[in-house]
Amino acid sequence: MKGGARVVIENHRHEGIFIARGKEDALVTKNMVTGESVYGEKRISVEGEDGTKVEYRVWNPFRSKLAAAVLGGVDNIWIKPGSHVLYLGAASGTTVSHVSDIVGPTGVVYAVEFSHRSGRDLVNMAKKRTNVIPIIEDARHPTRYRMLVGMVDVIFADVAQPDQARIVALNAHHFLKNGGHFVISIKANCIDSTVPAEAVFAREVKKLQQEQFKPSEQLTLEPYERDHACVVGGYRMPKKQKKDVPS
Amino acid sequence: MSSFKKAIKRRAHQERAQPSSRERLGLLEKHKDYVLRARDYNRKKDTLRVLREKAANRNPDEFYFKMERSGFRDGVHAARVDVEDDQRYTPEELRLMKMQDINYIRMKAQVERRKVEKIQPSLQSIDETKRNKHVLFAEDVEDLRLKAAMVAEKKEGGGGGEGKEGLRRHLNKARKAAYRELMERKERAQKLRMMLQKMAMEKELLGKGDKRLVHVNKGGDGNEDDTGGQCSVYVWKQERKR
Repeated sequence: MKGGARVVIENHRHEGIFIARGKEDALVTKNMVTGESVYGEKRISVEGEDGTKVEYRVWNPFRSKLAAAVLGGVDNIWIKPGSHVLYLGAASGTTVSHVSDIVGPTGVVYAVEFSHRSGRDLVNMAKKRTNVIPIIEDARHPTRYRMLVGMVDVIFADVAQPDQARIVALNAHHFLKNGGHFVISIKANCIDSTVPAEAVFAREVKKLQQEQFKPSEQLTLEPYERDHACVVGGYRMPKKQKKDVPS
Repeated sequence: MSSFKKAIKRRAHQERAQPSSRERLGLLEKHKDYVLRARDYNRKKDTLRVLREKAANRNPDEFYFKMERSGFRDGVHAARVDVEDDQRYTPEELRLMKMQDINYIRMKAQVERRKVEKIQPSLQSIDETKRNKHVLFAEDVEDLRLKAAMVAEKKEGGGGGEGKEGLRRHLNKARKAAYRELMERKERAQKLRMMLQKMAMEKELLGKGDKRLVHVNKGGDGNEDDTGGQCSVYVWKQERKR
């Protein structure tokens, strides 16, 4: 079996995400910028049916909460090819690069990060990826970057701030379309370290519900992160019509 | 007729070597192995001969001062019989040697940790059952039932991975090996870390200061073969430093 294919790529349930099966057993995304790693992650090259090489990048769940949520079996992340995504708390852009892979050339990722230090890496990453728009601003003040951001389909937030729900709500009121969706990673310790994690999650969910969000699921990110939860839901969802029950 | 049979080319059966799985059983009775056996026998014979000759030609007046200190201990030649083994080095020397050992173990532990860091990301146990908690929010019971059923029936892999059966089997095997390697490396890193702790404790015990044993952890006192338990706990007397 020498010289043959050493890996097989399967489609994941979520569109735009793949699973590499070989010596690896990993989530991967199709690399938009072939030949380059963003944060030293492994790349896997596969030859397609028509003989063209396609490159995938391994998505590390220990470094990305979104990957941890996907591996944890989240029902829907709403981020798919062509999506417009507002990414709050982009940090150095490791996860952003994978989101950019998922949405592809037809989608857009607006990546907001406050810290200049990690923002530098983010900008460098965005230079090579045309669908990423880096914004070095405080996510608490969406008006400061309202000229840069259009309406989005999904907000992903990983800001680890006590007022995270408020930050997400502010941004959603500005940029998220009606019937759009949100994905939030909550770190219990960052919000309140004195109460059990479960209570913090419940409180955050309540806060979100008050802001016209409608959470649909919540899952913890074990074993990749401790006391983290990922909450997914809709925003200003249209009223459900009662189905006519034939009598 | 018989000459005709002889004319047909027969397959030449060659002597086979000992298979590697039976190597422990030693050499075989065949010429190739006989050569090896004979060579070994003769080498040993020659060595004995040389040693006998040396003993016969020994100069009985030969003397070195080191001979005064060396001799036999339990039938084995020892460079110094006048000093017990544990007194051969000063505490400072011992400390230095311990330090070198610790540095080596630390290096090895680091190597293992790095290796784990390198292979961990691409081994994500995708097919394993999830250990996390999944909460679904629903408007009413009917909605909840619908959602739960939807989640339950979804599997991670949506298929699309085309490949022959042989290839699949090969990949599965490779993956299993990779998982095993990861597990072994993790275990080894853990053991090395424990060992490092114990050795560091031993080194500290050789150092200065008044100390007192406050808690004994059985089997945790730096035996190389045992790396399970934790170190015993010591308390150093506080010393005023200028």
